[in-house]
Amino acid sequence: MDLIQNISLGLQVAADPQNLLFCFVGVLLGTLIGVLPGIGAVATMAMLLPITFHLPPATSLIMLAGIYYGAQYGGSTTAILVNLPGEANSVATTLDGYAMARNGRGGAALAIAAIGSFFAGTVATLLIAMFGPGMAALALKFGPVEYFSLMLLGLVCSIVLASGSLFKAVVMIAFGMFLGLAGTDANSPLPRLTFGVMELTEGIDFVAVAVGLFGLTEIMLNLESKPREVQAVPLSELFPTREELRASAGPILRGTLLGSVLGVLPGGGALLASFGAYALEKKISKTPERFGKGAIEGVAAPESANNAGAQTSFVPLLTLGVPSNAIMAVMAGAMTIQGVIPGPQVMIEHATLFWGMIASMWIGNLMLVVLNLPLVGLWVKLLQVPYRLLFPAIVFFCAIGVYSINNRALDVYLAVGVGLLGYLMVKLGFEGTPLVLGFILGPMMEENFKRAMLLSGGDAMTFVQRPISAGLLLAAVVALALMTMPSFKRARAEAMQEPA
Amino acid sequence: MDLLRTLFQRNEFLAGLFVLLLGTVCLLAVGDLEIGNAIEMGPGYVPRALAWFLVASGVGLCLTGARHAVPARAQIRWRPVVMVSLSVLVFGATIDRWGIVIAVLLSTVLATLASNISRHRETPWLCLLLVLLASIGFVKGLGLAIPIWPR
Repeated sequence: MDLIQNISLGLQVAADPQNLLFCFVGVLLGTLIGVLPGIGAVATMAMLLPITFHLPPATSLIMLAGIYYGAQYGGSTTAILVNLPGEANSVATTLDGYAMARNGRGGAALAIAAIGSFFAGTVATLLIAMFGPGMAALALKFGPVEYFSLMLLGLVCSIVLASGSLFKAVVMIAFGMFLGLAGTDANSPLPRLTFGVMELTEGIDFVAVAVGLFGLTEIMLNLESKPREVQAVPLSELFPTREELRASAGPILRGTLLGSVLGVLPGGGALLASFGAYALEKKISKTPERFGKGAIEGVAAPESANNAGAQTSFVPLLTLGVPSNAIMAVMAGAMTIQGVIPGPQVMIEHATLFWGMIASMWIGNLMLVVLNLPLVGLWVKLLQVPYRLLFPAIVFFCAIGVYSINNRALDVYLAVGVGLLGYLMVKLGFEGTPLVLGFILGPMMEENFKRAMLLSGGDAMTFVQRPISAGLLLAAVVALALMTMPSFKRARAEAMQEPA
Repeated sequence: MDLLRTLFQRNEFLAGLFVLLLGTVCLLAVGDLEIGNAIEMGPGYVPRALAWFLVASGVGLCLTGARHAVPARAQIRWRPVVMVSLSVLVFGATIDRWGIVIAVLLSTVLATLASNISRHRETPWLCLLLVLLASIGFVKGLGLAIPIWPR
């Protein structure tokens, strides 16, 4: 059995003391930033990128992945106890989780969230191990034509599934692509789009963009309003009753499945998964009126779904080389720093890295259960660190993180520029994620587009003549067509606002 | 004049202007980069297409935004924007020459001025904490090649 062999290889890598340590550091940091509002996983991972450069590839990716799913756990703690989603993904949990806490069942909500997340993480890890190799094998058959179409489909899905204006997202993708193209391109010796700045020869650094958009912009926006007084609901016993357990089993299972599927979709990931699972449970429940008033199903489903989605969103990156959301774009950046090109080759050329990372996700989930349930009191204390002390520290982490990429001031200035740009963007109704996706995918798409056109002798029909590519493009068209249908539009708006 | 004022109060119109501005800057950055042809594309082919797309989108957004009256206007609060930017800029400007202690000190003080939620008697302690974290945790601990003191 290949599967068992691969998983045992992965477990060996993940059980290496150094990897275990950094997995722990990752999930600990992740929980911390998940608990603290005003700093997200994307910014944290981006800030830590320069530091991971000194670690071996597998170790650094294991740690970064740990931050991501650790943040999911931390986010749910604050969602339940203080009605404050630490991460966007736990917005759905605030509704019933906080209601449960006020009803004196906060401990049970936390326990169910942890159990559901752990179950979801385990299933998702297995799914990746089972289906990953097949997808990678398929992707190995891809030429430049197919790759271009695949990335196009990814971008289309990411705007269809995201909230906000479709057209504005397209504009931001284009702008992100443009920024990504600056620097030296593969086919000519001269740097381009640099306004003659020598230091930009290598292009604009991804870390500067990500820290600007998700770090600095965020702080500027947070400081506009008075921070909310944080008051945690006192915690009751941690053990759910037998009835609560029985009521949660179905939602956990359904949430896990839905989350796993939605996570694989480009642009999906954990956010969509948690909203979708919540809406599904409410729809099929015999007593939908209980939702919002402390229904345990409303905690179990989104919590399982967002963890499953967080895990499976690694699939497109690791097998196809296409990041599906901002977090995966950071992971792509981390892999590139380590000299590992994201894509189907990863599984073959870096088998230990691939399977080590998959296995570490499972171990990390286990650590999180241990870390979160007994230590929940500690996390709640941390939550009471006021934002007035927190934000100068975040500014500091942003600055030092960006500076240490290349030890030069220019990157710091760039991050400030991007931060200001991001602030204007938010004010004018643009989102940062499409920009980041464009930034990462832009150079890859240009490269594949150029090669495809060279091979076809300048005939753009090649994209619809090759069957796989035609299928991918068709899927993109269908996704766009769905968007224009009023009923779908309404459903999309509802799914995004349901819990709010 | 009144017309202009109403236009500038429409968010979508401003969004259009913003994109138009981005597109124009992009076009300037492209300059006269070689376009090439469809078979062998030059380095300027794709960037130019993207830049023109931005310009066209900006014009389109302006036109539709000018017609639709959505009065919700974005409020910009200058203090956090300016002070946070300044804080990070000063960090970048001082760290090479003056070392991390001074850079962190200056940027932290500036950052605390970004909002009136900060309490000034806490600032020295915050500075001390971050300076220690930076010099001992980051530079010594992680072995970053950043000077600690002015050189």
